[in-house]
Amino acid sequence: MNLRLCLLAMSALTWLVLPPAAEAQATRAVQLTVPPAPSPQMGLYLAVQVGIITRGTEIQITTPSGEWIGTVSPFAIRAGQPAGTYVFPLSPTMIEAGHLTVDLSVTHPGTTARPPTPDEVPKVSIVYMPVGTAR
Amino acid sequence: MNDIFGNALSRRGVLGAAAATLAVNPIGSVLAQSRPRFRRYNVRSAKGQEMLKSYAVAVKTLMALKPEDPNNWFRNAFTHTVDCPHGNWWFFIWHRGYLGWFEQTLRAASGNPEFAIPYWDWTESPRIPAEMFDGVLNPSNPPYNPFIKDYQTFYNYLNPAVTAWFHGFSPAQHQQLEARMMPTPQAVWALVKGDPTNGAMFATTPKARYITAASPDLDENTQKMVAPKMVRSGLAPTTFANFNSIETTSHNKQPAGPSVFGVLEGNPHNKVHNNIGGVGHLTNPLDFGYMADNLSPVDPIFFLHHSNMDRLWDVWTRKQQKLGLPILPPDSSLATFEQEPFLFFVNSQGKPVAQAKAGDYAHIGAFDYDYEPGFGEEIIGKPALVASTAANRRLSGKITAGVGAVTVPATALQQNATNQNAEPLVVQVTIPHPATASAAREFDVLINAPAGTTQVAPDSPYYAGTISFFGFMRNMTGDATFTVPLPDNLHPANGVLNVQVIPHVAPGARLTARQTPAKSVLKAVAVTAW
Repeated sequence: MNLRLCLLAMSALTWLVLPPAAEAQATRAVQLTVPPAPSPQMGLYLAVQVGIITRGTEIQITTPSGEWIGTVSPFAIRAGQPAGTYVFPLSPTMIEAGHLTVDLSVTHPGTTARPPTPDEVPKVSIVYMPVGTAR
Repeated sequence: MNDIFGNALSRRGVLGAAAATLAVNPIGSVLAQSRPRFRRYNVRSAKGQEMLKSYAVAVKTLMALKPEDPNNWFRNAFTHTVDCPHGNWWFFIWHRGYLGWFEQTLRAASGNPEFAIPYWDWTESPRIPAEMFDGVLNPSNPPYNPFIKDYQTFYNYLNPAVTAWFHGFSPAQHQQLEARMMPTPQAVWALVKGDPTNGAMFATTPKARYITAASPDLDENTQKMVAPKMVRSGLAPTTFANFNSIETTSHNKQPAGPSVFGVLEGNPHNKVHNNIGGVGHLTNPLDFGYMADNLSPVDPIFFLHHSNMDRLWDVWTRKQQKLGLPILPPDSSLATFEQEPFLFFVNSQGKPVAQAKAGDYAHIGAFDYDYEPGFGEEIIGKPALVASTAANRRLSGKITAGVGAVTVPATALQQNATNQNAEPLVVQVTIPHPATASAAREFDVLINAPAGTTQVAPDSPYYAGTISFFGFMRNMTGDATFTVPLPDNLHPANGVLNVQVIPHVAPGARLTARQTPAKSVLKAVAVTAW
């Protein structure tokens, strides 16, 4: 198992899909527990696993306050294949009391933004990766 | 005469004259040279602009080649269609080979013996360079009409060449194409033509590229994907596995589980492709331009985009070397990585190259180029900041009378304020969990505030952030460490940051007695790079 998989495995945290509000929602909120960094040399990232989505569809990821985290924009995925897992950097300011809540939204031209189905985004998790720069 | 990898050069190729230009500049002894023979310039620089002019000459020359010539502009794009890896650990290394060989073809076709593919540093300039909308550098312009004005024209023009190409493949090449589910020319054309569900790789001339000269900027979302924070986070990993996308058993196969994209491939690479290809902006949601799929090398911007991706790999590599860290997979998987067959590259003579394994492209090596410095370069060779003062790059403070004092080098604060650091500086404070449900759960972190400060507004020069416990959990005891970015405008005397943590008080509110801690809650403080 390579390091990435190892890290993903160790951070396969329980995550909670928060219930949608009564009115139609364009997003699905996911709350994650953020464990302490194993060491100061570990960077904090969000991993978003995306299933089969139609070409041209994107997944927008923000915090509840609207701070942008990333956009899953699959490129050159074969028809019928899952789009894969995408990794985005997280800022410490996005974490509140050891928790991170992210809002997920599916966008596609000509259609209204909507929350992803569990098949479209089956998993969201926290990933720590060793990081460092020559400083 | 040999090319830079020692392959015999024929003077009979369709680029004979230009190849001769290459041949009279033998550069076989690259190891003996102190600096690379070629330089890939930022497209916005004066030299980069010169290179663009040569690039336009080359593209025009290659478009005019017969489609049977492997160096024909459109035929070369099909090499990408049938062989490029995405979403696995061969992404960077395959594209280095693809660009490196085609750069020699472009150099020969341009007539400029100094030519190297310029790079588009979208972090520095998130808009398509103006010159890339001119003439043959824009696939939506009239010179492309004879080839791509409609699908049938394109098919009639190229299909005989593609069919002959397939008939000439070796068993090993056929095996790779079967793994890729492209066993026949018809299977490839089916993807090029597309279907109503998935759209096509092909695009007609007017729809070939969706970003226009009148509106050359990447869209807002894409600009975030190429912004410094994203690119730096992509350069930050210290292992090959985490810098790259996931390990697979073949560059033509999907992983057993989900693909896991490296930050740079999955985010700026993908989004720039898709934005230029119209994803998210189409009236007909399936009417994509070339850049949105694997026929993307039809659009000349492809090579500037991938030159920048290769540059970022080079930046990461040199950063790793500076840190004494590995630049390739560990020994346990290195052979698998290096022995992967890359069977479709051709040289400037249109001949298959002898360098047919991934490991041949692990280094820039015999392609013999370097890059004019661009964004990201600043992470290499910076004078040590936090790292020089603590083995674990963490500056611990001392707490006296509830105030934590941390000494931070002035240069670190200055560079943090001007965003020169690859990783922002943060202050980490450790405080106990609330002891009771009614105890304060939110605290403000103050830097260099006057003693006795009990309340600050977010625009206060002393305010660093507010930290919160999420609800009250009876089973949670012990201490918790929170991380807050350091404010930019810090000019402490003697480089000492005085850190206080006080209960947060909302505007107009007052703390109850129960919410007011009897003494400072701060138990530990440190400054580190995040």
